[in-house]
Amino acid sequence: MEPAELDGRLEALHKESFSWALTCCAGNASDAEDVLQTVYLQIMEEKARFGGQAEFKTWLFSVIRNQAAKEMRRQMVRRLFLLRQEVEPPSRPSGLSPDAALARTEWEGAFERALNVLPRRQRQVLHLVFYEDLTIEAAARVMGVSLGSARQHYERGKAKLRQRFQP
Amino acid sequence: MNDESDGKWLRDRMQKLRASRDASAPAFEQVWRGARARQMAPRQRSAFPAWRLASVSAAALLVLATAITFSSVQRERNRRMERDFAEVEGTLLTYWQAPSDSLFPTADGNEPPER
Repeated sequence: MEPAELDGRLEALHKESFSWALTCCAGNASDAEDVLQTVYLQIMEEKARFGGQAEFKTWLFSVIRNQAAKEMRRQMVRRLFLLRQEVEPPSRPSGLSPDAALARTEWEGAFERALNVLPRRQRQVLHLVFYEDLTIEAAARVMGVSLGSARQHYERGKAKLRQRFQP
Repeated sequence: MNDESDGKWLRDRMQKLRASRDASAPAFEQVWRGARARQMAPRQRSAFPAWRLASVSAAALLVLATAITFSSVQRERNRRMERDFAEVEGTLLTYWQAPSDSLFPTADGNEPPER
């Protein structure tokens, strides 16, 4: 793929990619931006190369998921071995601007928080299916799990949200 | 709530979330420029370099190995000591005699009669 074409495709998918990174980073906006920047860097340096076996979006989302998982692991190891909790500035949920944060209803905030505390796989599959409109099969490919496993995470995640928000 | 309305409800919430997230996403140029700057910049030292992890692991292994060696030496020493005591006790038992009257002198100074 030509670099200009690649840039164009990345730009077209940028917002979706950011949102996916946000879901993979449990709603931490600065982590999500870091992850996305690292992914773009890997693509620039051709450490991550699109082979054309899958759809571009599926491939990009897999790269983002892997990078986010790596980042989470690194943070965990850092906490375990150095016993040093890095002091993070209080971040706004999902990196909303103050105006946007004010405009959001309390209910929306509660929904996003509930989504962010779901187990990683459940959060990811619900995002891919309901946010990205992917089929469960495509979501399983992005997540690198079997269809059966993705379906199970999907049902469990949905049941948890239903339990939390059922009127 | 059945499965279909469940799906509709969740999709609706997610699409609202999407609108709010889209509005707050950093611009593509900003992230791309950041990546480009990182590419151009000399490699930064990692906050948690691999050598540190390796040395922490090596130190932990050394401590573990020392503890295992110390405890096995200690166990072996105790066993040897027990064996030595048992040996001395056995030797003493060989010379042991049952007490009899012949061991005690009589009041008149004569030797007690032979039995």
